[in-house]
Amino acid sequence: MDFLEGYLTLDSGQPAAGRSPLKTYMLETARGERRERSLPKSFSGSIGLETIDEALYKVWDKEHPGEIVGLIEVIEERHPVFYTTFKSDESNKWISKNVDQTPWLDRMWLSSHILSNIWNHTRKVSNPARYVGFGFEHESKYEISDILQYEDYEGIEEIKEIDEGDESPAPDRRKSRVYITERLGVLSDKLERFTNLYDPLHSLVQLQIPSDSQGGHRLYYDGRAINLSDSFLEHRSKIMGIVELYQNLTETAEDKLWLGTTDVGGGGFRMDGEPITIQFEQELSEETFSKFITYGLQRRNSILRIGGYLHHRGPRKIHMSAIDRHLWQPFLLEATTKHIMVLLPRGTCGNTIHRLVTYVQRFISPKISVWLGSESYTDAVGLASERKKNE
Amino acid sequence: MSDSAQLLDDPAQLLSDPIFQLNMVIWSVKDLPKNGSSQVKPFLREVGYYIFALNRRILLPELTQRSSSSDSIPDRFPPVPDVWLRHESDDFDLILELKSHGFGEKSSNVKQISKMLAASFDLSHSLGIQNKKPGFFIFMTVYKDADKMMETLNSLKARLEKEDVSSAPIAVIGLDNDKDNWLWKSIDPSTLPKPLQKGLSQPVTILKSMGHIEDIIPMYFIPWLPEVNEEDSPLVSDGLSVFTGRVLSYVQKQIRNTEPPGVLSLRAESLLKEATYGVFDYWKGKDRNRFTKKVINIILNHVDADSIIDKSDAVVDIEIKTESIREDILKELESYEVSNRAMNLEGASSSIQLPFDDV
Repeated sequence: MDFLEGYLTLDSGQPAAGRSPLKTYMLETARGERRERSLPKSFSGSIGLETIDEALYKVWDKEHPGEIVGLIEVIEERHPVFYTTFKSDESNKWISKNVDQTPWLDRMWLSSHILSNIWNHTRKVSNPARYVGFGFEHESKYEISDILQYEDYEGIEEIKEIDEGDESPAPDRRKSRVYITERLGVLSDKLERFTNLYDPLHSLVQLQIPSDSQGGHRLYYDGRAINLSDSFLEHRSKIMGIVELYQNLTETAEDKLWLGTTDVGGGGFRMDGEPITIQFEQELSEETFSKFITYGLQRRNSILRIGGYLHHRGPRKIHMSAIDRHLWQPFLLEATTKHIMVLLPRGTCGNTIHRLVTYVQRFISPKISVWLGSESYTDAVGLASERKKNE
Repeated sequence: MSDSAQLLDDPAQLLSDPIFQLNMVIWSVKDLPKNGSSQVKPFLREVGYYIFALNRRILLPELTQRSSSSDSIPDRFPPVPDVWLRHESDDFDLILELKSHGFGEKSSNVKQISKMLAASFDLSHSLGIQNKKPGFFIFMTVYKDADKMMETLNSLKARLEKEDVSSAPIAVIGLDNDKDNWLWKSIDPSTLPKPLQKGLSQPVTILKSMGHIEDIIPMYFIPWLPEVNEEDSPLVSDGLSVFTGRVLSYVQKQIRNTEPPGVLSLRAESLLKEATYGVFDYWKGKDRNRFTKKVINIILNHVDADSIIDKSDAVVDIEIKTESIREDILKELESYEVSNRAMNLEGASSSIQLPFDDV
């Protein structure tokens, strides 16, 4: 705990001067009976997990000899959490390499809907005089006019800090990055109106909430968090709450949506399961749609981590026998210029839903309506949050 | 990549396609966004129906002394209607039969439909319950045949009654399209079960086009069914190409999840079961065999012979020695042209000879 509080280095037990704040990465493995790998075997061979106790591991990496890169705590069997004091650039690269390219692991994807739910809770319980931070980001990635610029997307895309300087060339497509730090009471009153004025503000990718004492906790859309408070235990408690909400949301959705047959006797069966629908506020042009299909769905290195077999249905619609490269699980996908629809066969990880929602808001359409069957995703997040509180 | 440019020359092809018809019925009971913006309208769900069973056999009633000599029902082998729907409050279950076209009294379909009319009258035998469970028989086909089909059904019903065999009430729902919409229509809404009467008093748009003829095709829960449509048509081929993509996605999953060095046994039946979400279990022997061999051929054609250590008509054992071999196999499978009729589940054959093959 002293290491995690940032007081000591884990290697030497010596006081840690000028250490970088603690980074937390919330991860996804697989649901209970679907988990085929133990956590240590979920990582590639160069990563070693050394047991501290049944829920805590030291993490070694052959590429960082003699150095502990962080700790993993198994807050929930499905959602281990990686803590590290690496600098952001370094820790993001480490996760890109050791999580994004590993079929047994994924990040927890904190969609705008989930972050907004956390904000709504925060505004009810925190002092209005405290400061909160919001980061909004949308880049219409597939509106690029010059196809050669797609070369930029070779390799795993690195997720940059929103407040870092952007030295990219003059934009030729819609790109919005907005960061707001303001007193909670002010934003509590004005944020919704502000969001409705400019649609990229529906794509919430970063939320900083105040801690109970000093500082705060910064949460990112890709399951990252930074402890900027003076207490690791409080940070851990916030993370536990998010993990619980996320698991509750995902597993309730899985139970409702999974596609499969049920035997009904007499040689008959029933086909159960409901679709997930993501509707875009504005219809995409055929050109943008086509680029999304080619570069978002068919490139192996797309951050969407989806592949599979395409079936064209005219210039505005495709069907896909898709594969989610997290767990390499097949599912069905329909994409049109107006929506994305997904059917998840029984056992498929529901994390796909959150990843798709996050991706669509960041890169395709910031304002969307998401439905789990006929239930709005926003309502489903709210209900998961309520269930969590009542447990 | 499947190229469906020539898939639909004529919308009527789609209307009469049994796979399209069945998938539309499944979509019509799905739980869809409430803001009405879906391409599909869940009409049957909106009026209170849900699917009780697909392909469940229904039993014929016990014969009376007079009906034992029924010409309409020459044998007692149970008929298997396509869909059995139940309503949240109405007492009548719907027995739904889907056909490409209507037919007359001399058709070979008459015997099956007569049995369904008789068996639907009281479904309690089929359910194993004591209380009477009334059924309503609905025939669904292209709208241009609806009038004629209603005449045929009325005449079959009259014949059964003459033979002292009770039969279920009947109705026909027709499928039609205008420029941008695919419709369900009734020739006489008063003949329909009560929950459907209001909704079908006018044509119901069940699918909205996005402006291109092929974009009307919804995502199929079931892309191919045995004995439903064996003819050589672009739609049947398209269904088989979709089916091939689904099978190959499960092949990829198993290969990626094998840690090298290791041996993977790819079993065609388990791949087909996964790719059909369990429907494969309900297929008969000859249909199962037809596809198991083809799945094996597809695998043999796309995995380097050096990696195959054993094979039969139902199983292929693949040795994955290194990560790079695994990646090569996956890349080969990823580039598979699922719409290639000679290579997919429509026509895949294998000429690969392995050292251990019998010559």
